[in-house]
Amino acid sequence: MATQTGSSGVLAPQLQDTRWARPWRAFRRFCRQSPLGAAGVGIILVLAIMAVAGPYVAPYDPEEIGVGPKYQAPFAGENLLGTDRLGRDVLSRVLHGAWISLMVGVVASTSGTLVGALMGLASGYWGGKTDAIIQRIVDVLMAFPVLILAMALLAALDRSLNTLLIAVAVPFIPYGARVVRATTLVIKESQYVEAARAIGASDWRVILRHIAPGCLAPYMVVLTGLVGVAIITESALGFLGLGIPPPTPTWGEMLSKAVEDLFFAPVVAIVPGLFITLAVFSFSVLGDSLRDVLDPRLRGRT
Amino acid sequence: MKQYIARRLLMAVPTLIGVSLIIFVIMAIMPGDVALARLGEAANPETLQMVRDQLGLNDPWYQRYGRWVKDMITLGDLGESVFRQGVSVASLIEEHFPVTLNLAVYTMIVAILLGVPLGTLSAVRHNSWIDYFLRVFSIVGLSVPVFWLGIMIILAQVTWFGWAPAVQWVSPFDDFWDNMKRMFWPAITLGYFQVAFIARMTRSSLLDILYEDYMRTARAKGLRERTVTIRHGLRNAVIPVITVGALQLIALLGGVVVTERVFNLPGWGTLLVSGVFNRDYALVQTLVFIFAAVVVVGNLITDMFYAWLDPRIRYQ
Amino acid sequence: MFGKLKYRIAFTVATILALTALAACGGDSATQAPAATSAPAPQATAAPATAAPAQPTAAAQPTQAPAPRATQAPAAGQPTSPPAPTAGAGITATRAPVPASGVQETDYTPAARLLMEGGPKALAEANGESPRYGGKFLANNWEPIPFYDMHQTSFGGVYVITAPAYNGLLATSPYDELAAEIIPDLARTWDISDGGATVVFHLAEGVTWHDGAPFSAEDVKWTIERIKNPPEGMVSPRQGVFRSTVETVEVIDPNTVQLKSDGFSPLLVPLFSNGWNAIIPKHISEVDPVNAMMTQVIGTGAFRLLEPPTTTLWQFERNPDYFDENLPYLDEIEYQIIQDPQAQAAALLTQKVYFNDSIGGINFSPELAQSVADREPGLVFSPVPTITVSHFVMNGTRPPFDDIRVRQAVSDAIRRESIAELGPQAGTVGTGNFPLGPWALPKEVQESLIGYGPDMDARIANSKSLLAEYESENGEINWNNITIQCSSNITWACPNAEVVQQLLKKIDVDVDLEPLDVTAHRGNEVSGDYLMSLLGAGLDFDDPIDTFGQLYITDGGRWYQRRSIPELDELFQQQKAERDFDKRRELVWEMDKIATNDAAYLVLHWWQFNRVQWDFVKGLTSTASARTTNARMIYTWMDLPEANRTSR
Repeated sequence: MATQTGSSGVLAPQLQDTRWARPWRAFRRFCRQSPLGAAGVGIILVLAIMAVAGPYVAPYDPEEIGVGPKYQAPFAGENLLGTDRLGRDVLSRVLHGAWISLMVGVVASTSGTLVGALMGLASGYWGGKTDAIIQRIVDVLMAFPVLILAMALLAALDRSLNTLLIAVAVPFIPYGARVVRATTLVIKESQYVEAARAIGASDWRVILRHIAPGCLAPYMVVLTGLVGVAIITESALGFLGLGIPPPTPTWGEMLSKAVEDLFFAPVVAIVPGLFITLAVFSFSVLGDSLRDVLDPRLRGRT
Repeated sequence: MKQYIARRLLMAVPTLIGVSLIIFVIMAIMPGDVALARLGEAANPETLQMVRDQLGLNDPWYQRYGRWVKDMITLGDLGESVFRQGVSVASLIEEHFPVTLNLAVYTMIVAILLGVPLGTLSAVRHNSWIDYFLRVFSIVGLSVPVFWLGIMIILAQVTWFGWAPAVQWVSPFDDFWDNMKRMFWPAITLGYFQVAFIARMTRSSLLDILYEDYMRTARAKGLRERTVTIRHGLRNAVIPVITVGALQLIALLGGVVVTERVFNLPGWGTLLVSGVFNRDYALVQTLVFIFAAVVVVGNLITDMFYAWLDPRIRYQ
Repeated sequence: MFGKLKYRIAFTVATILALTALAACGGDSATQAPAATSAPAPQATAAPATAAPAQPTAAAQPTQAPAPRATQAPAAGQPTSPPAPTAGAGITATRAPVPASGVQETDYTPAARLLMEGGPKALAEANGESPRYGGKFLANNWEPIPFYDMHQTSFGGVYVITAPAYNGLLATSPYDELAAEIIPDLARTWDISDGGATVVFHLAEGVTWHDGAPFSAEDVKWTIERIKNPPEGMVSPRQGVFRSTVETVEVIDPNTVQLKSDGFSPLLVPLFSNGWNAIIPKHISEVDPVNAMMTQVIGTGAFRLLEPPTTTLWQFERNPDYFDENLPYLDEIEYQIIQDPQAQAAALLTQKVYFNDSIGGINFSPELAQSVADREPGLVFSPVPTITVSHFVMNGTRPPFDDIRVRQAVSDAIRRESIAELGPQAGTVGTGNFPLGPWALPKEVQESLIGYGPDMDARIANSKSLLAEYESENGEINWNNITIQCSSNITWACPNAEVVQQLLKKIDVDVDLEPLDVTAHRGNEVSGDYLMSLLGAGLDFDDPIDTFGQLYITDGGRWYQRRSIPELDELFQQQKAERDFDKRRELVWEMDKIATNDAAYLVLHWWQFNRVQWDFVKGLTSTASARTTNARMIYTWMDLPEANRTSR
């Protein structure tokens, strides 16, 4: 992150007049306030580049068997991180796996919490029976530990990327609903919403123009934290043998197969685990920092 | 208070009904055939039909659901395992329960013994290098996948110390030392996440409280900082830690599943995974329900505890 | 060590040669072993004397092996394959001028003679061991145990974990790697008559069940008839082989039982030396024939349950009332259920489990087995060939695989050697006949078949042109809609499927994998709900009646490809009735060629089990058939200080 903040001094004058100037300043402030969060952003950027560019820079086809001898140690042969049990290039697999893991993490948590957020908006805004029903649904979903609900869903659905996304997304619905409902309740009582309603603004207009933007910040904080949980859930499912079918490389699946070879080819198990940790770590610190920065109650304390 | 308890208990009922319905629907659409799982290679259309009839799989869904609910309400043997013949679901769950309980208790002990002091230290030495170190330590703890950590621990132990987890679980009341040998590392593995979580909670709630008015008053009275922190700060900070920590320990059930898989522990997690693989829907549906019910009951207890501590909540 | 690969191969080669000699009584291919042709009559009596000491040396000194093998042919032919020796006996019987109802002298195997004359000690000493008594043996099993009745399942886990509690009529020598050298068990002696169509078993006396009730011939009759004609509601996987082998069971007196088959049957005696066919107690089973044995483990076996089993632990203790007062050697057996290879490897390394082999073990990859053995000097790794296949099946009833060209194209593109080289599981490339047994297809014949040619480039070109030809007639095949089903919870299945998938890319066939739970997957194979499928099949006997009967014959036990080939079915019936080994083998090879070139059920390879064990485990040999009577552990002992008694 140091280089980025350093170069900002050069870039900043040119940006001053453009429409990006304000976000850029906000970002610089964020970096100053929360260096750990900035580091998180940095790692996420690196991982995102890996995920997007991985397929183009990967030295081998990740699914191709026998590109090197089986269980080649890292740095020893032509394969930088060595090879796995089928003689596939570990580096290429990690690069391709980054795409699935990040994509599932981001898409599943976003879609799950988004559905939840809509439920939360409706629940908080209309209250009454709507609220009661939605809250029961949320209670029910909340009763399941995330991994166990995802496991049960995957046991029932056939195995593909889409079903994996659904299985990881559903357990996140209540988390989106809770935070948005709570925020909606607060904003609904505020004077400007009452004023908007008094001048005859429709429900949709009030929700879209006034309430939804207000919910955005707390929602983003929760979401960022949940991306990490989604990545862990995805890899845990892969580890338990319930993830995307092979030979598609995912970090969890790589790990689950590598465990069998743990005692003589440990690197194959170490590498994907490190990447999972790194990805979850970066989203967690970003989530924390966002909360610190966006939650005025905490501002200046951490 | 009584009224509040009654209200909360009533609210739990529809939740549990909803939970059971969701589980039942999921199990009903589960592909694969338990009759096949039981018959293995001896399966043919006739024998399949026979086994399905035996298991009542050909009955309409409401009958099957009714049977299941009745089984659970009467708290009998909870029906027979579909995969393991002649064994009741209740006895399987009972057989595996002590291991999970044991793991959960040890994990909680690790979490509280380490989590609260580390969190306090972090808050008191706010923004010092210790604080930074502990914060990174706890964020890493929240980020490392439990299963990977477990695998790395096993790898290190086998490689450097020639140690491997024992195969059988021994009750701590029979042989505490043998039990520790089996459970120590699983508890540490699963506990790291909990330690990290509780340390963070303690730190942030303690930080909140350290700036409250009554703390300033206490300081202004000339009390020593340590007395202020521990007597006034920690005592009040513990309330949210316990409530949120209790919730988190319930959510730990997911971690139990993978930890038990990694360390080959015969607990509920292993039972659940093997049930899923063997299409033992009778076992899986009941076990998942129990997991969910534990969460619901845990929430209930936490709420009541909270209400008892903070009377305002009762009237919300 | 017994387990060394080269000795194993030498042993196999030796027995094959011996068998060739035996079968070549007519003299047409007997160049290798003239001795066999010279004196067929005295062999039966001469054999045991020379055979007993010869056996260990034959295994240890490969160069000498063929000669002694050949001279002791009728008896020593026994280890090669179960049916062959009986076939040999049958041949002798028909040549000797005995009346059809007459009783001939039984050709007991060397091991059987040793046991009969000198007891278990003599058998052990002949194999260079002097067993001691005592100790607790730590074993493992990888499958969850759904119920305890081995006669109602084909899941090996159930067999293995209940085996110590039971006896069969016969067993195979604990030192015979091919699980073919028959020794007495509950039947102490037996007589064959009617040219191999009748056998009378003389049962041991004073045998009791674990609950104290006396054992009798009625139990034997009950067991056989229950397997053969299962009661309503019982699943009996070995019903077919019993029906085709055993015609009647008759109790002559409480200690004698007579079995008849409909004409000559090569399996009549060996059938009862297979581990699956243990004798169960009538007085318990008849109370509820379907369910009683599901939840109880009561046998006559050398071990009895110490406590009710749990889902992770089975404990056995020595049966103090065991009918052979010299057995068993062990005091206790503890079976742990471990499902993960790495947990199993760790348990082995730390002596929490003493061995990992096809008896209940998880098949390690060769690398894992080697790395485990390298860590501890006391751990020994030995690869064991088994009569289990990895298969790749194409559904012959569904397009495009209803066309032989598509199947042949796929078969020719799959380089069989790659599975062992790249996949997690080693094995021997072969066709429908076990490549290390007497029925193995000669190499040059094999290389002429689809999918086995030596020139890979030519094969790929051939595949492509076959596909092009098909597609020009029927339009392009949409490979996107075709998946390879594999079992996600069988450690080797999906990785092997990945290898096949990548090999198919070389002929521009790009298909996806469809991992399924093994139960669902097997169900699809049984019901034909698949297009391509990769799994395996465990067989009991290295005999075409079992292998082809299961894999290729219309409606066979594992006839997953659903391709009915009348010509092959016809040949199958012919070879079954053929008593001359050579002629029979010609027919069998013909079947093999037809089945292989039909290319619906592809044998990828015959497994190698990577056995790892502590060197103090004795009297427990890994065998080609995974369901060996060795799982009963009657003769197993441990060379450990804690095993220090000289008698039971």
